[in-house]
Parts: sequence; structure tokens; C-alpha cells
Amino acid sequence: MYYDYLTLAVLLVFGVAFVYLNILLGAVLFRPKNPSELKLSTYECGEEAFGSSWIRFDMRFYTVALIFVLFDLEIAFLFPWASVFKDPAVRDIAATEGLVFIGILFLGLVYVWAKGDLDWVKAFSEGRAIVTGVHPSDFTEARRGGGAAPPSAEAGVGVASDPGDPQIDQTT
Amino acid sequence: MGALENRFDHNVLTTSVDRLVNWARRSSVWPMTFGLACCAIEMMAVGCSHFDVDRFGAGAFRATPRQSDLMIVAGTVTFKMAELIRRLHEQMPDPKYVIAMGACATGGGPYYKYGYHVVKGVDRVIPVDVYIGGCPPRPEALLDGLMALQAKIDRENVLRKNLPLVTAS
Amino acid sequence: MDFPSICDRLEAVCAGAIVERVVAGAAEDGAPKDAFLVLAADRLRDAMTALRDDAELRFDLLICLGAVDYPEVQPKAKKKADPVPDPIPGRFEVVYHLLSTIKNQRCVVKIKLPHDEKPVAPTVQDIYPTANWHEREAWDLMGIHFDGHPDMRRVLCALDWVGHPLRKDYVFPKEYHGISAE
Repeated sequence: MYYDYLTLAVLLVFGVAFVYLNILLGAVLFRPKNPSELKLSTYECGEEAFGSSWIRFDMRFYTVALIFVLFDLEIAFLFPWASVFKDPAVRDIAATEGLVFIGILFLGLVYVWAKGDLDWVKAFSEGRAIVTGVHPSDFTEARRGGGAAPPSAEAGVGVASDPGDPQIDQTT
Repeated sequence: MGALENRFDHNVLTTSVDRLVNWARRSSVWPMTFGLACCAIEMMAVGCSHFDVDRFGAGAFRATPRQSDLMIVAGTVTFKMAELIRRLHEQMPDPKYVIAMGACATGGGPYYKYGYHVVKGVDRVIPVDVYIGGCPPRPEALLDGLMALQAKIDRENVLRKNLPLVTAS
Repeated sequence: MDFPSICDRLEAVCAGAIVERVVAGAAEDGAPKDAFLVLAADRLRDAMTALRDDAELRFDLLICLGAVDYPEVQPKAKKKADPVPDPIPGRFEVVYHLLSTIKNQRCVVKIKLPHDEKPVAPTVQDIYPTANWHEREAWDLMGIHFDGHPDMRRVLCALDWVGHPLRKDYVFPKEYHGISAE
């Protein structure tokens, strides 16, 4: 009764072994092998490698990956749930439970969205003052033949509001 | 080629295998992007659609020496860069080839007389297979150099023994 | 402002800094051509600060900083009978090109340094940050050391290069790290 699986297993083993052995054969017999100290050194655009390769990475990658895993698992659970609907007896219960499940996760999505975790750059609302050191009266002589008044600014200070710097360490 | 390299006499079998291997190697020479100066512009032109080096199989420019067969030294080689060129050439896996493109890489170029920081030819640092003259060489000249390199690869002995040079007796 | 008024204004703000004012000629409309100021090397930083900050001058951009090597020149006697004139001593000069984007005026400033093996000039990289790498280049190629520069090392040549290549008495090396330079 299980002879089909035996056939499949033998086929798999032969397939994998064939590929592996051929590559091994190629490596031993056909591949040039001339190692030298410089050749085995770490590549760093031609210079000698210095410094540690352990870098501190951005927390936002972790956040995005975490949210992806959660919703990917949700989808994985929805597939067997969908296959239950063949049986008419359990349709109502299955539908209700499934929608409750999706609803709870949807609330989670709304929370994450509202908190701003889905934006790569979190928007701030306050402006930042940029000190330029240029007084508006400096421009009166450079302008030729009059014209529009210089842009309004307090003495030496320009105010700009722009999305703030992305936060590297998000604690929320 | 590992254990079988350069072991066999010349017969119809080994010549045919060598032809096959050489054909495979010359039809997929993947260059490393090594544009140093103005010749790099001509190399970029060769890579683009009008002169199209991809039809020679050499269109896959790799940024890393670990995955490339060919190093086209396109531009002036300075003493500061020479050490890096040596290390990068060593980090390329065999079989590897080098094209010296342009007057500066061939022999110092216009900086030969007064260039205090210019290496007078990249062959003082790494072994070169093909030299292409020009300042800069036209893209067709680079393609001609690539075809010369392909002809050189065709003459290589992979399984066959390298015969000794014949001297006049 | 034209060149004489820039000089007068600088003299008023930073007395004693200007050593001489040199004008090469006059253009068609009478404006001075190729005019430059020569400053005293010890008053350079005060003069640069004044050039940058004074309300009339406001030179906010240092476009370029360059070094020049004038070797000693031995002029020939005009006639065979005359005694040989004294040689004109050599000097190093550092040239600063300034631009005022606010007032739309330009100015060229020079300082002269003695022709030593290691001439020293004051740094202006904290007044004009452009000067940071320009002064490193002047050190690399001409050997002028800038006093007070935080990072005085070579920027163009290899870091262990010997000599200063753009000097008039530079001797080309025979080899570098085993690579022949002949």
C-alpha cells in the first residue's frame, strides 16, 4: 500500500545524489584550485579589511518583519479554514469563527497603522528652527532694481517644518 | 582544472573536450567593473545598447572580483591604487584574464613623462593578456580586444598538455 | 563694491593687515583687472574673519585655496659690463579666492611665505570649512604646513609618499613599494 511512497523516496534520493555527485566530480576533477593568501582574504574593495563586520541594524526592519510574520500566519490559517466549507453542516459556525479571527487581527492592524509603525519615516508635527546667519537687509543691495520684498523671516532665523529624522531606537 | 588539468596527450577526444570547455569559457567572460578614469566611459558605452557587449556573453558586469572572469583595467593606474589592483586581481578565481584598456593602463599614457604618481602600465602590477591602445579606445576597439581575448582563450590547453616551445635547432 | 573700497573697508575693520594692494591693469570700463590683496601672514585669521563677518564685506564662500612655488630667480645683467644683480629670493604664496553670494562681489587674497623647507601658514578651516581639504592638498603637493589644522595629512598622493610633488625642485622617485617608476 505504501509502495508509491517508496518509489518517490528512491527517486528523491537518486535525484539529489546525482546532482551532488556530479558537482563533487566537477569540483575534484575539473575545477582549477590555486589558493593563495591574498585570494582567501576578505573582500573589501581592494583594501585590507579592517573593523568588525557586526553592525547595528535599524529596528524598523524588525518591526516590518514581525508584522509580516503575523499576517502571513493568519493567511496560512485561512487556507485550511476555507476548505472546511464543503460540509454544509458546519458552514455557519465556521464562518462566524473565521470572521471573529479575522476581526481580532484586523483590530491589531488598525492599531499598528495608527501608531505609525507602518510608515518608514514617522512624521513629527513640530517645526525645527534653522539658523542661517543671513540678515534680510543683506539682500537689499544684491537685488537689482527693486522687486518683490524678501521672504518674511525674523532676524537671522528661518523656521522650517519637515518630517523629523527617523527614529532609530523606537521603544513604542 | 583540478586533477585533470594539462595531463593528456593531444588526441581527438581531448581536443574536442578542450574545444568545448574553451567555447564555454570564451562565450561567458564576465567582466569586473574596473573603470578608473575616462576609459570607463567608453567601457560603459560598450556595455550599453549601441555597441552591446552582451552579444559576446560578456554583458554581466559583476561588481565583485569573486564572481568575475575578466578584469578590464580601464583608466589611469596610480601608485595609491596599484596595491588595491593587486589584491583585487588575486581575489579573482581562476581562470582569470586581464585586458589593459587604453594608453594609461598599457604604458602610462599621456602621463608618462611628468606623472609622478602614475604607474607606467598596469602590467607592472598584474599580468595582462590583451592590450588595447587608444586614448580612449573607441568602443569598437574594446570589442576587438575582447574578441582577441576570446581567440586567446580558444588556444588554451585545458585537458591537453602544454607542448614545449619549439626552438630552431 | 569695487576693489579699492573693499580694501579700504578691510583696512578700516582690521587695521594693519594689508601689506600691499596689487592691480594688474584696467579693463575697458576702468575697473581694476586681476586685482589682489597681499596680507600679512600673522594677521590672516583676523582679516579672514573680518572679510566673512563684516556687514559691508560678507564674503561667505571660499571658492578656492591654492599654493604657488616661486623659486629663486637670478636675473641676468643688462649689459656684460654691469655687475650681476642680486638674486630675487624665492617664496611660497597661498592664494585665496573669496566670493560673497550676499553682496555679489569677489576678492582675491594672497599671503607670502619664505622659501623654507617647511613653510608654515595659519589655517582658516574653522572660518571657511572649504579650506579643510584645500589646505591638506597644499600640504600634500607643496609642503606648506597649516598651523592649527586638525587633520594635516596627505589627501591626493599615497599616504606614505615621500616629497612634495608640485615643488619646482621635486625629484621623481625611482620606485614605490617595489613598483618601478622609471
